[in-house]
Amino acid sequence: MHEMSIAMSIVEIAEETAREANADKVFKVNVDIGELSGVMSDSVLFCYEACATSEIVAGSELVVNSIEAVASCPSCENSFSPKDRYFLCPGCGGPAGLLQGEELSVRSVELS
Amino acid sequence: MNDPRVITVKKDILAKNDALAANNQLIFKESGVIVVNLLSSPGAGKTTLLVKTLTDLKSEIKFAVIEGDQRTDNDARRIMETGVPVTQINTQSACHLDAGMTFQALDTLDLGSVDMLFIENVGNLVCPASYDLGEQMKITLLSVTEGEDKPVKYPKAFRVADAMVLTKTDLLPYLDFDPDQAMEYARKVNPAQKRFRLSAKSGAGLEEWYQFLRDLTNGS
Repeated sequence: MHEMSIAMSIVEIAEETAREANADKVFKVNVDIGELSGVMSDSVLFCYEACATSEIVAGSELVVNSIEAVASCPSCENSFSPKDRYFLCPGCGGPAGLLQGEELSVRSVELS
Repeated sequence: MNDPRVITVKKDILAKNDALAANNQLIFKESGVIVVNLLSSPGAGKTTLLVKTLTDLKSEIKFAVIEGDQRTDNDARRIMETGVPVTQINTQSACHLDAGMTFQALDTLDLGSVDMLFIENVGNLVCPASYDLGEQMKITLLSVTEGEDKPVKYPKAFRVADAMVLTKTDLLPYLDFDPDQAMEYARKVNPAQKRFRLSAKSGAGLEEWYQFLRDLTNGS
């Protein structure tokens, strides 16, 4: 369960962003969480509520933008969804890389 | 009241850990030490494989070990018996080691006189996969008493690992575990990964693993 430390990092980034923007209130934090990031969105949402306690972030909403995994084959340029987590190209059987799906980032913060 | 402002941040949530990991990496590079981060579920045999490896190779390679567990120094005491320098991190409630904890543990080790540092992470196939410690390589262990499909159930732990080790193969005659199927799952998740099958107890497959470690310390 590392979602609590993930949530705490999100809170820190939101607080920092607010300080840098001279804002006294954060309303909403938008985060990108990839399907293969190894992080459960529901549990981050739960933890965020528990640790967003400082005056500046209390009551703010965390919005998770889930990003689906997309793999691509470097030899036949085929993109596909790595269903069942398979990273072998369905076209040529070669090893594929990941285009997206491991994101774990704060996209934007809405503040006063 | 004014309308809310939207500030674009685009900041990695683990940026703080990544910055600390980059600092560790610099320290490791300057000391000329190869660092391997070992991942697995609890009880897959990380400490047993380490004890066997250290015992057999310590005359060739200068090792040190960082042990990560929530509680107790049981594993560190097992490593200490081999005569290899070891330091224990107790993460208390945390389910993984992070780069900051690793940095603190470095104080107790004389890295200048070490060729290879093993960091045995907290037994957990989920969280440790997300936290870089500054290591050159992650290696994930899977024991034959678990399911063949662990690589597809916990893909991140196997995707981030440059090598995978199937452990406890001496138990295969007593189990329905299909090692070829397990390796095939791992290949599908991470086609480029190097894979080993071994038993620290019977010694089967150890020589290939040892050669891999020798090659790592020789920079090949």
